Amino acid sequence: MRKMIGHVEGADIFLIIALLIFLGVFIIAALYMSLMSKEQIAELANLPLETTSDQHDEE
Amino acid sequence: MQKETFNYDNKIVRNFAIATAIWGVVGMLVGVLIASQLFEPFFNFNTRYISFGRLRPLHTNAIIFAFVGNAIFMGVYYSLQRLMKTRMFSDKLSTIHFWGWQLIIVAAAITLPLGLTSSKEYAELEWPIDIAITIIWIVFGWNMFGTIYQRREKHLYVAIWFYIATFITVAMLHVVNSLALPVSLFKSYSVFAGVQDALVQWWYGHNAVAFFLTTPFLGLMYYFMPKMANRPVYSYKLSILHFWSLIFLYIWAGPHHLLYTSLPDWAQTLGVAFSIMLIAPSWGGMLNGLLTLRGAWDRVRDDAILKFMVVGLTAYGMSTFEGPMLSLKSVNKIAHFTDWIVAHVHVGALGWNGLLTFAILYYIIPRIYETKMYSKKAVNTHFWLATLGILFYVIPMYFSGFTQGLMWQQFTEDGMLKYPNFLETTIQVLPMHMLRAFGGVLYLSGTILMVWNLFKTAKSGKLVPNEAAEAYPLVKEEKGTVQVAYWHRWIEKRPTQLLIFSFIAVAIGGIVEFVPTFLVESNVQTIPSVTPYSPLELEGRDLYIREGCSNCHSQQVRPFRDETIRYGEYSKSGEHVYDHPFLWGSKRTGPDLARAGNTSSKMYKDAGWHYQHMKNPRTTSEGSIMPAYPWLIEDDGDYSNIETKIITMRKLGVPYEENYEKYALSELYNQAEDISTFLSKEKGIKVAKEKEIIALIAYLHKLGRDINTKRTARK
Repeated sequence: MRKMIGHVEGADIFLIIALLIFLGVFIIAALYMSLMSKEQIAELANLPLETTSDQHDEE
Repeated sequence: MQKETFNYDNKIVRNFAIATAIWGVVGMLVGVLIASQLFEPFFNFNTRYISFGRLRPLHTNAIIFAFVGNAIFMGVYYSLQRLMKTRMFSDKLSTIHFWGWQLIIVAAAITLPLGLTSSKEYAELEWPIDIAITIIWIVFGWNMFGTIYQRREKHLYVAIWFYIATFITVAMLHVVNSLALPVSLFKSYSVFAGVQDALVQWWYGHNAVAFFLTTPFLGLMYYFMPKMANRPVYSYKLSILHFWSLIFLYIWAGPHHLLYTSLPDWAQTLGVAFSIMLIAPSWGGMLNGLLTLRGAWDRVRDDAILKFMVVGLTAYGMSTFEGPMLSLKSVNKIAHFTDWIVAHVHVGALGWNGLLTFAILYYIIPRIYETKMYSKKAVNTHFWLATLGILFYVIPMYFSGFTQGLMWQQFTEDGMLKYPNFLETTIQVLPMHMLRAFGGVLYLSGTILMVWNLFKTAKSGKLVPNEAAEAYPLVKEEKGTVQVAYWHRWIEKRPTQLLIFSFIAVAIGGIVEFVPTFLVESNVQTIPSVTPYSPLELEGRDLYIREGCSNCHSQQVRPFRDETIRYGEYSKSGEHVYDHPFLWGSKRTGPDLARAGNTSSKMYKDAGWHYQHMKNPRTTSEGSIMPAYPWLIEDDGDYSNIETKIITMRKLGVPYEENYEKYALSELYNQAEDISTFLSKEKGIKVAKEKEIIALIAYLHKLGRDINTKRTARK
């Protein structure tokens, strides 16, 4: 890729920065995930299943 | 603490559900009509308003923004209220949003058949409608964020993350891609030209697929799949990773629509690399949805709604695997411009969007009408009609795509093109086009059956416009009370931060691709011999746009032996510097026209041929499926705006000399007179210089002329 973009002055730096940012985003998201406890995960995952109306959710 | 009572607004959900069903039928009906025109052009009844070039954008807009758009709003309004444990922020905003969106769709349904189009794929609507879309989209966002801010649930479930990312990204894409200078009330020119316009357009086009057809539906999947299966999502952790990776990666992949074009190589490679990476989050999402059914697979056998979800998710998996494969240059070489892409798109649209929409409609309607589904048998029949419809649609299209791609590049032992006449490759695939139309009829029949079933269901119950609900009020966390262990929940409880971070994630890709392409001169090298369009050519170009010619004809010769032999010199970025908008197209139902005005190309045809071809394509090309354009021969061109057009183009950087607009009209008629005289003297065809066909011929003869080594006459 470096060879391909070599003829565009300054373009390589954009790509490198973008990939670094992506790595950063990925690592933060992975860290975010790993720090969540099972209880918290279960609480969040069950949000759609909580019924707030007096109507039966399941037929 | 006491529970608070409140109501969910089901009326707005019902309204969007009705709109989804109606526009779905309309969009699919138009789809079947244009599919029929692709094997029998008679099906346009020689009527300009329903000719293929004008109806194709209507079909895509009706499906994407009317059918799928209304389905998104239906699902979001239903799930958001329940996830946030509150009513929508404002009933008034909900109503404005609903009627505003429907008016935009009606405006599209009127203007597109009239030929009022910007020609940019999936963004064809002209500037006043673009402004209306922006306003209504803001109304939607205002209502959504208002609802989130008044919530009774502190956590934002992952579905809402997808809704927020959808809102901000679609806003960004729409505004940037629609930037244009108006010429009149219904005519504008894109502020971008050529390669840059192509890059912006496919950044938009690809991400319209990503952020209109994918992310909102993933949000809906994350809400409705657990509801339908009555169990939580398989992995909430995976959904977090899925969200951030998907929104970050998707935005970069646009250039894979422009492989082997005159877009700079580095941008193409970047698009390919990110497209391949996209498999990971896409499949993560699909598997997360399917595995939500763990332990409940037996229910899929009996529950047709779950069948829709499972096949819909499988279609998502297939198309998100196929997409990256198609972005590999070697595969793209064969697939691009062929029916293969049509098949790929329809696996996503009919499978993923269509089936999920049907499942959500079947889920919501009985609940808001407090009744049971009128006929479960009909739901099951619909499922099979839809599934068979998809198969009958896509399998012939794959065959057709492979056939086209391979026939175009086939050489004889003597090194000559085996199928030098493009028409041979078109006629070869007509049986596939017939089967595709049959698939469309099956799919449409299923949808009509669903509309009947939903109507009967609604009749058997009574709408609960305000569904009673209760929940504990949200207690605000005071500063300092949040435990350290909870720091990572910081974003997930704060919609504004989530919006900002989502925006940053999606903006990066666009900036990295745009900045060098726009600012580094070597990316778009100018060619001294390339001149701006003459007034008549410019008017001809606008007719080309009006008739939607770029829906079937590309203007981009790729650097392959078969293409340069068939069409001529490969395309260069410098040729398109005055193209506001670019007209490269994305499909070759007919041959490429980039060299139609270049006498050294086999594509060159004289004015007499073009006249006869437009009048009735079958007289010059036996078996052609191109529609006839008799109105171009009958109608006088409206050149009243030529002055404004020249001024507008100059503002956009086209180097028309000072005061050129003052004598543009007389120059236009001089050139028209030349062509008219040629037709009369050389071909015995009497046609007045004012007729539209003259302008179109002038434009076609400009294509590729400037890079001709043999200089050509304007005739």
